[in-house]
Amino acid sequence: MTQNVRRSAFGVWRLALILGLSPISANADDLWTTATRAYQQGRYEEAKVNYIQLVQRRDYSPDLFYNLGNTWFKLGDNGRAVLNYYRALAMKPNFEEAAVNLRGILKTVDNPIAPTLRLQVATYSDYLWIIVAASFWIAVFSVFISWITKSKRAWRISALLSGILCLMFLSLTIWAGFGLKDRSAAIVVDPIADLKYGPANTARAMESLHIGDQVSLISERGDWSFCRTNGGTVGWILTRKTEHIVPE
Amino acid sequence: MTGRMSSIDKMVKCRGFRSRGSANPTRVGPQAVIGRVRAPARPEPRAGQIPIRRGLAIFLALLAFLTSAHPISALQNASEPAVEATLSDAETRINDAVTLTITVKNARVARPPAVAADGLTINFAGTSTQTQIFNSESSSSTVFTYIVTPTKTGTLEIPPIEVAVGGKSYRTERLTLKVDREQQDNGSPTAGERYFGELVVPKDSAYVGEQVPIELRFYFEQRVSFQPYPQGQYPLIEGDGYVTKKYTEPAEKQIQLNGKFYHVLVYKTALTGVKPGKLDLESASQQFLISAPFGSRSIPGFSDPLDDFYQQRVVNIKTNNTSIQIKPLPTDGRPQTFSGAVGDFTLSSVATPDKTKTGSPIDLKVEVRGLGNFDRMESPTLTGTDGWRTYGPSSDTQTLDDVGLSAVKTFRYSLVPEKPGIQTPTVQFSYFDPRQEKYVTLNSLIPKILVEGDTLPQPAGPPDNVASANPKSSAILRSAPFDVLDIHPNKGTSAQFFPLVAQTSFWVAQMVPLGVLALLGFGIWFRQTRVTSLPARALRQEKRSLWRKVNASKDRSEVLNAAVRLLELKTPVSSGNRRFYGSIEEILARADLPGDLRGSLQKLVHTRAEAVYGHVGEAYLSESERNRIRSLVQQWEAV
Repeated sequence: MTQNVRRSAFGVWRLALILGLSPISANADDLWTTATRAYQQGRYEEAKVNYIQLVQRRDYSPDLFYNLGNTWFKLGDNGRAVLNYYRALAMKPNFEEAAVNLRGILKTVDNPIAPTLRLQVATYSDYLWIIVAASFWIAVFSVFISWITKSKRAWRISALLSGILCLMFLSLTIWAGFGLKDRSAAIVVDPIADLKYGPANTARAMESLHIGDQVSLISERGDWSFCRTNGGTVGWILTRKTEHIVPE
Repeated sequence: MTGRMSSIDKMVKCRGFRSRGSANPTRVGPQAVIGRVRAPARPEPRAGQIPIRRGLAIFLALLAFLTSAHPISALQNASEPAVEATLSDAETRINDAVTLTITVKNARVARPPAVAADGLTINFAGTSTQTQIFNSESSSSTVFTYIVTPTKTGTLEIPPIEVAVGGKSYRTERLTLKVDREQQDNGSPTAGERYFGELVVPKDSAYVGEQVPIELRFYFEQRVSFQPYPQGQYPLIEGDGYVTKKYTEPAEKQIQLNGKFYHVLVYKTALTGVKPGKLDLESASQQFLISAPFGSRSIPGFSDPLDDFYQQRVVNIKTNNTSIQIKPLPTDGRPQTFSGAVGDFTLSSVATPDKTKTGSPIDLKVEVRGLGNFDRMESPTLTGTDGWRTYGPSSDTQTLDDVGLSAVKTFRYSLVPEKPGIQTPTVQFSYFDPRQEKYVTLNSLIPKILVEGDTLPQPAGPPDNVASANPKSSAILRSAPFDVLDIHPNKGTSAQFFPLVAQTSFWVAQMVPLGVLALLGFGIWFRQTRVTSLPARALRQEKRSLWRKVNASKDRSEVLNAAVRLLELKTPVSSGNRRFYGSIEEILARADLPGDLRGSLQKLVHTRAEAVYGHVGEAYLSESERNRIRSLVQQWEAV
């Protein structure tokens, strides 16, 4: 009997999903509307709570992180504002408004970071993968056609060139990595975070990191994370002073 | 093994860590000592020369007037250079540092003058160059700051310091510093210590945001060799409520202290208190790998340097503790344009081009120079911007010394004139001068810019993220505090953080060309197969057609023809697995066949020849004959 009831409920839920009447979907829209209205009326704390609920539902969009970044900024937390602008830019590299706000805040906190060449390339890694795939298939088809046709020379040249292009872009893509979409990429969200020689408060500091500095978290030990900065320095940092760009 | 110099606790009594030449030099401190020398006056011209050179003098005077009218030449319009040296205190104790400042007025000197004195350790701390241009009048000065630490008691003298300015040599007056013994309750580090540390803070009080140069000195006896451990490690100062700048590369030197020679490793940095109150600086510490003679096997009283044990070990050397009082910035008299700059600064501005049209931007470069907290400094304010649209500014800081105490911060604004013939704005910058203990506001008038063209229409609204022009010409326009662009009311399309290569859709998309490739391959294989099997298929088709005739045709000749053709199409294989070639008659003669079958088949072939070529026999085929023919062909095919 109970099984029948469950089965019926599941069927209704599936039907509702099919018809676009998902209760979860409706709730998400409500959250968005509530958050946006709260922001526009200056109730930033309420806006933050609602936007964060959307993030927890994994209902991600570049606009969500952009708005959340704005909300954190209004609440005075520049670190988390920067983090969310990075998230928006990870999803949409050409998100001009997020880039403008990010630059402005980094300038405000006196840490105008110039993105490294590697990060700039990695921002477009998705496009690079498309080029790699396209050139690979052009090379394969050129080899194939040169095999079956009489005019082999032109197709062999085409295969050679596209093969070289494929290898070049593959190397570039591997070198650049996934950039902001890298699972280990994190942002310093605290105004000052010391990079230390060891995972302890008493350990010597080797470098001071600031809001917006990007680090790559390699491993974790207690409250500390072993990380590598964009400049290549490795050391220990308090985990709570950083946050992953890709939400966990 | 740790040497401590707690005498530093009571070390400095100076009021300012640096002093500069000013109209009121007594502001340097209550016990300031000032030596000041002016350049010698020019000799008076002889009376007889005046009438002869009057024309030339008038010409030169006119030239000088014209030149001075141009703002760029304002710097050259300065008065005579002057050099002065001051000590922040006239009396001190041994190892208690005081500040020496050398001020060069109305001249630019790049290199700090060399200063040395017996019994004094003098370390250069920073440079500040200041230039002010206002209403075509200029004044400039360069201030060199040194930290002076006495190493012996008595009345010590700093000899006249020679400064070369524009080919001439200027000398300051001799300065004296009375040095008493240090207090005895602090455990002198020189009392037999082989190595010890010292934290030198040349001030006992500072304001919030004021940068205080400090030195960490690590002393080692001459016979002790040392290196920071691990290499590249910098000292750590315990305490909170302050920030420090990055350390400079440590400098090494040799000094004599109480008759003993020491190697001294000096780390320089600057400290800034971030909140008012007493700032306790716990000891700074640094690890060193030292190699030193530890103990001796010699008989006491007989020193044999070869007899010492040299051992390597890592030691953690701590300095003395000290404290500094951090005072809050006064609220009285705080200018509206004050944005947190503390120190001593000068302001200058240059705008290019000096002639433009309405709507065409000009580049305004504003430089703030001096000693202070450049990292907390916000952009200067533009006043009198009626008729101008302002954008920016961007900023860039260039340090002028190794510690970064003195620097020049450059702000770049873009100004767009909206109306012809408008007045140029004025740049205004306020800071707190800890030496004078008051707020100072600097103004820099941008030279007149000729604006031509028509008045621009008013914009619909202020551009985003940009300071808008204030309608009141006398009102102050600050570069607007940063605000973010507005939020997006629509949710937008959903997206994921997965990289493209980790998305299923990417690999599904790769299936498309792979599928196309597979289809092409299959097509080619199929085509090849079809071409190869074409004769066999034609043979099968012909056989089917012939069998249809054998089975259904009423025409006897046609059936016989078809039957013989079927015989021809099936070439039997010999017992030696050899295929026979030739006419059907030859094949039948040579094939391994039962005798009756061979005879029947040869008869069938013969009958077909008679019927086709000789027209012998019936025209119509009986069913019994059809069956016999069919049976013969089937037997032949079964062979």
